[in-house]
Amino acid sequence: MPHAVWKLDHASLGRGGSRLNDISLEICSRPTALLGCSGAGKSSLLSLLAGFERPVSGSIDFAPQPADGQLPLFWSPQDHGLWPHLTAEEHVAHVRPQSPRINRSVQEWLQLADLTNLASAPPDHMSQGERSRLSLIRTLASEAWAMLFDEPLVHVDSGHSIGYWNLIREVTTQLDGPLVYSTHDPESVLRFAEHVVCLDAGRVVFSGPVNQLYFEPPDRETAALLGPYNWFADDDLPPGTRTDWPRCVRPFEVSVIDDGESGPFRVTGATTIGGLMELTLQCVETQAAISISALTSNPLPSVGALVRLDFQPARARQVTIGNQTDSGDRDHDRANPDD
Amino acid sequence: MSFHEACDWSLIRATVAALLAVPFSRSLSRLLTTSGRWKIPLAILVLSPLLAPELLVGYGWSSFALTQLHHPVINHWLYFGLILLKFLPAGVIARVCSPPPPVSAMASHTDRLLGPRRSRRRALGIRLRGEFLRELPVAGVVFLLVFQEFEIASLMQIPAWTVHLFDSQTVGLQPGATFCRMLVPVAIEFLVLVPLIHFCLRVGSLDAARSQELEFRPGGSMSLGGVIALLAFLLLWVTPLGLIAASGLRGIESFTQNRVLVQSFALDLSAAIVLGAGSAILALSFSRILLHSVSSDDSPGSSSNSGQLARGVMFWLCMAPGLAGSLVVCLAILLSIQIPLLQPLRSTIIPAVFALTLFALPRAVLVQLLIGTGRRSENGHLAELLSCAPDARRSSRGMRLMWATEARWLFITGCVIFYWAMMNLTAATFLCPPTVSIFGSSMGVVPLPVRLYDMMHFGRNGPLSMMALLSVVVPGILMIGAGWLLPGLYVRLKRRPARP
Repeated sequence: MPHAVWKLDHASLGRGGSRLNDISLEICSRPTALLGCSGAGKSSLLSLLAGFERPVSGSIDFAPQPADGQLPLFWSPQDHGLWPHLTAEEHVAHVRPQSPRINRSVQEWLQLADLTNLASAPPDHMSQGERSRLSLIRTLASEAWAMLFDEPLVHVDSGHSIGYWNLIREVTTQLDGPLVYSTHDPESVLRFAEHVVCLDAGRVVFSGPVNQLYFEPPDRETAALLGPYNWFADDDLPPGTRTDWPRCVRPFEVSVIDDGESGPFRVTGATTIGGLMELTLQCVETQAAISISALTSNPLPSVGALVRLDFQPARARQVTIGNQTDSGDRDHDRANPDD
Repeated sequence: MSFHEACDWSLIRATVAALLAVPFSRSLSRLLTTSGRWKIPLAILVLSPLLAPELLVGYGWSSFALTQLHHPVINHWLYFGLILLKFLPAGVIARVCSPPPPVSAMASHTDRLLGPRRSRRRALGIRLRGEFLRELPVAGVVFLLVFQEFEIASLMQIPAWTVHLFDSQTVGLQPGATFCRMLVPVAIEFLVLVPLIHFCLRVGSLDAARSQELEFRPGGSMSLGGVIALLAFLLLWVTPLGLIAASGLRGIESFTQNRVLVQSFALDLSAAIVLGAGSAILALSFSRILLHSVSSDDSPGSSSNSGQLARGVMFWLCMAPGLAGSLVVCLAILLSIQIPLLQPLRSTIIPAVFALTLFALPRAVLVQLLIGTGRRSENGHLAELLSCAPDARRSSRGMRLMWATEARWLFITGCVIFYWAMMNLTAATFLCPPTVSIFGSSMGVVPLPVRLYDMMHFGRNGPLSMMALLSVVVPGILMIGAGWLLPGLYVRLKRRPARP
């Protein structure tokens, strides 16, 4: 188990815990993503981790282990926190260490962020996207041991953002320090995070491995944070299939098979969204209606057809389930959703 | 002219100025939205008239006013133009810093899109809760400042309740009688202050005001704003200072040869500087405590709404005396120190410092809100994180950035407050003891604004102009010197092992 870098003990922020409420949490050196809807408390938690704010009650401990000459922590806040009187070039030059461990010049950092032509420009002359890229490379160029990013690429187009995420991962791996970031983008979590903390109304509703959140989320709202899902209540499926099926099934784990005259579900609606199809089905036996997201099949089941659903658990899920069975405690790393 | 007639004149001027301030401040505030290299020069141009010392403006224009004694209409219009231009920047600050109204500009526009289908009553309600409330702080602040103006009116021989009251107090009217006369203008001030404060308390925290995007507010004409800003700069800085400088340079010889005058001037200036600096430090400290108490920790709907309201009420109770004007504050304190229990304070500078602190408090809050030093900033914290770097080069860069992002702005705010407090006439006149004890010996000291004001009534002359000029130049040099020394001192003081 990696050591805890941040340890929050009943920490609250805002009067009456209006922003963060009684948070007890350990964040270790693995890449950690903070998830939650707008106003859930992600930025507040990051500003606590960055030491920008202090909890009004409870405590927070930060135990950095920087190498010689390394800055313990740096942060890319939501408003970018740029220094208005410095140019882009000066921003990077000011934070670069005397003996950098990553052999990149200021110009090379700017080039990586596509800011070469704005090297002499102050933040006032930049768009939101350019400012967020400058804030991003300033944090990376600081070579700090721990790096925090608050929705770092929210203003960057999705076509380019994956390249910047790769850069974040490359630098933090090279520096071997903790990375904590908040995001609304499931792809960046699935690609880069190992641990995830989900917040809702200032409380932690989940804290654990990404795979666990993906396949075993505590509820629908948390499941939705990592993209499309199917949620099966106890009586949604006909008897016989219920026991085998987990509550949350991701679209690529479901196959919709046209069973001619004998399927347990009747298709009442079908539509495609990119690579996914969304079907509304009615259980023939119980008359209960359910919605299903699955990978698009060819041809799309026609309305009125009788179909059955086939569950093919993902390999990652089998690993997760296997680990949990071994430990005998499926929820050991999960915060109490009722908190 | 009777006191009531003087009151009427002040009221008419303040009302017209408040009405004109609404469109004019809209145009001026557009200049503040400019980005790039012109942002700071334009901000200085727009806001600098507010810093023009009233005594110097009045003194600069007093000779012209004397030549127009037989044409009082010209004097009235000139005075009105000067005070409108001087206090318009306060309207701009109110526009930028005031909380958003319950009905936003977009909501008002959405309602207008409904066209004739909407009821007239509802449309009026929306306008009242939107456009009217949006302009209320602008008009209210300009009304109060114009209504309270004293020094320029006095030196230009313009009727005003403040001049009437000040003169009757200085010729020996009992403070109690003066205070009774003051009740009518104070009641008028509170007629404006109460809805203003009620609005600010109801519509949200001051932090919400900071998050307001100026760009989304309805804009005026930028060229009109430019003309107003240039005219204000010309009439309130260039013309009076130019006239005073020309006269002062002619009188430099007679001033320097009069050693008694130079010595007493140095002593009076020092007294004003000490008073101003002490009050500015106190006002700045209290304003930071006040701003901290109403800062963002309370989101609307949090469990402590009553606590939030109590802090809001406390905030505005502290702000209200200063908003009512220094004459009101000083006379109230003068009356208070007649009480036997407080009489020992009369021979100290405590009442004057207290009055100046109360007077400067709302100004300190507003300036901090305008330049954003009222709360901790993310970029300031990042500079602090950088100052924790183990290598000396990055660490000192971090500390220099800390100065540039936070401390420098606080210092500039302090300088502005210091100058306002230093040049305040009423506190120095009514509340300063006639003698002070220095190293065991008692010395007669008259703070500089009192001496200048007394001499200015006898017309313009070289030595007086020299002293008036020095009252701007010496504090200016002191502030520039402090601004040059402080960054290095700040970095030295801050050099300590810090943790994130």
